[in-house]
Amino acid sequence: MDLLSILQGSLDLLLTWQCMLSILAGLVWGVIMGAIPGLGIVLAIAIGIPFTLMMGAVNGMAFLLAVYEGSIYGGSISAILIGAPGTPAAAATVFDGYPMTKKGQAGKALELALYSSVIGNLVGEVILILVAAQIAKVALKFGPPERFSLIIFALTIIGSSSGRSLPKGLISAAIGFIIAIVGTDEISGSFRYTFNTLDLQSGIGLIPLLVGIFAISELIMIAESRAGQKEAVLAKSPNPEDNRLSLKELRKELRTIFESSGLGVFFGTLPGLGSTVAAFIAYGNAQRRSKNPDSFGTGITTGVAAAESGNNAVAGGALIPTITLGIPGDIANSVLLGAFMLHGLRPGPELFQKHPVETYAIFLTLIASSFMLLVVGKIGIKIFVRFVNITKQVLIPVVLLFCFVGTYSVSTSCFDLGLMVFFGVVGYFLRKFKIPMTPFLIAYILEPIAEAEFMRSLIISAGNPVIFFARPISLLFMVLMVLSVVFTIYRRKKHPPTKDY
Amino acid sequence: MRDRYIGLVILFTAGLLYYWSYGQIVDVGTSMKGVSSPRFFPRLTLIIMAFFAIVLIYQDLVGRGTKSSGKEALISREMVILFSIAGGFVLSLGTLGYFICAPLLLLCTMLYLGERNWIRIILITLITPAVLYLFFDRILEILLPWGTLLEKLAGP
Repeated sequence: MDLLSILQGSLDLLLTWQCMLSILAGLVWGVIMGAIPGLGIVLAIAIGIPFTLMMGAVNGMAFLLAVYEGSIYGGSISAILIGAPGTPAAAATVFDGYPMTKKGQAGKALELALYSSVIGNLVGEVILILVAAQIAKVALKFGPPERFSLIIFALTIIGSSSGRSLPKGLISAAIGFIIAIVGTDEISGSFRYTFNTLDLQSGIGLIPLLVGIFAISELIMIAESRAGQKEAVLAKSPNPEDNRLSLKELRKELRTIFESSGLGVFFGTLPGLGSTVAAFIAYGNAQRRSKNPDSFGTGITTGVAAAESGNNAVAGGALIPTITLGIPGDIANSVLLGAFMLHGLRPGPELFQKHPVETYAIFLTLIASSFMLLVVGKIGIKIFVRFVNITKQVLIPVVLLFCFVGTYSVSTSCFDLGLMVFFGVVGYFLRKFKIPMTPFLIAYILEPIAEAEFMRSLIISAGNPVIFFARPISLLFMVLMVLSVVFTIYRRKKHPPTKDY
Repeated sequence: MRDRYIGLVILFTAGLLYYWSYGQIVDVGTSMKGVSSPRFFPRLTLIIMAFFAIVLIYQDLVGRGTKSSGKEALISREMVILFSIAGGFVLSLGTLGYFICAPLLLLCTMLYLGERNWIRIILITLITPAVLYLFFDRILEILLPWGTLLEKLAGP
């Protein structure tokens, strides 16, 4: 099919009321979930997945990607109003967003965060659309040894950059592999760790695992938290200029926004970093380049613009390796990768060949979603602020019920509900042991592909594992893997990391 | 919890799963052996897991482990009670059904977490399950379980 026909088909899929409604619903859900401190992007997407399984591939992914974009922006609402980021990605927004609220400029800060988010999203999405197909063409030339080595390299980087402890990161990846192994081996048909249980023969499903590990364990942590809840109020300032962003002020920040967006896209493509790191790097860069760096942190518009455009542009950047190589760079993208697969669209270089119309339709829904976010953010801000004030006494039970009903709806199986609770316990102890979850989930998602490529490689080489070192690109990935571990050990000795996961 | 104990738990788990790989990876009579065997990949992963567990134990013994963030308890009361409520929901769903279990889940959790505004409690325990039921049953056409008790009461 030529590109014009593909785009025409994609537009036909996009311009339906069902697709537009899916995007709108996803944005609203995402902004609300992102705005409530403690819930976050991953939980928002994880709980949303079961609801999309009846929607069809394009509408379902449109919803989830809108949740992704909406929740990144939503995190800025509580960051600005109460100084507590709704998502980790909004942590840098607190530095200047909250002081702006204290100066009576909450309305201006929120509007700037919205515009920065939308522009950051669009920059990331345009770059995604321009480069994705080209990267996929190169990746199509990879054979099984290259694909296996690439997965192991990506897992090593993610495992070594997650959390404070390198062994814990790699243990987390190994646990993810083991969980994915449970079930029937696709190649030999053998049952592995099924304990004579019929329900386990099809393996451990993505939804009970995801919802249990992330949502249930997170709800327990919120319940345990003794932190007091501040009230978010969108107060109007007597000075009308404080309540809105002028065109002149926006134009003044455009250079920062585009620069930070570029950084966001770049760091988004690197596995293991994610939107939080990108936001801090963008903020730090804006501060360094400023004529008045000491003003950062006192409530200036440039600080908010840099942080928000940086963390939102990551969405497009991170989708590049996810969609073109099938290798998610962060936890949110690994959840999205799982969702793609549940919808019958397997990300990777073949996606553009097998489902070109659906792929470009999904790209176009991202663009539509960014424009709709502008409208949703402007109109709905007063409603979204109310959600920030939901108490945990109401939040936890309601979200818990959503988790149960959503998981049940996928397979109508009480066994899966039991698995969900079991993985909730597992997720709780992983958090308590400070074992990072990102490598775990990414390894779980990638194991079937990794093992299949490993076996195919051995079939090609008649069982000789030297094939992984004999082919130049595969050897390159193996060398990069070793170098990344060595570099991580060296870097951690010099600058011990401070975050756990 | 100190890394050495975490490492020991991981090492023990890896050992146990490796031992189980003899009985729990059931060969369906294929001729695949060695690196092509269905046991190879799991065992390789478990060996790597055990290796890094040993590294973790070693790092903690020589004082290079991650510092724990205080005296927070490994198991809290909230964890036990909320997981018990969740477990109770799963075990009773088949018998009592969604229309009884869902409001009970909301009620028990809200009361345990300290909600005392009875109007809010009643509204949420009634409206939330109803909205979810309407969404799943009418829009997504997914049946939520009625439970054997309600089915018996409803008769044939």
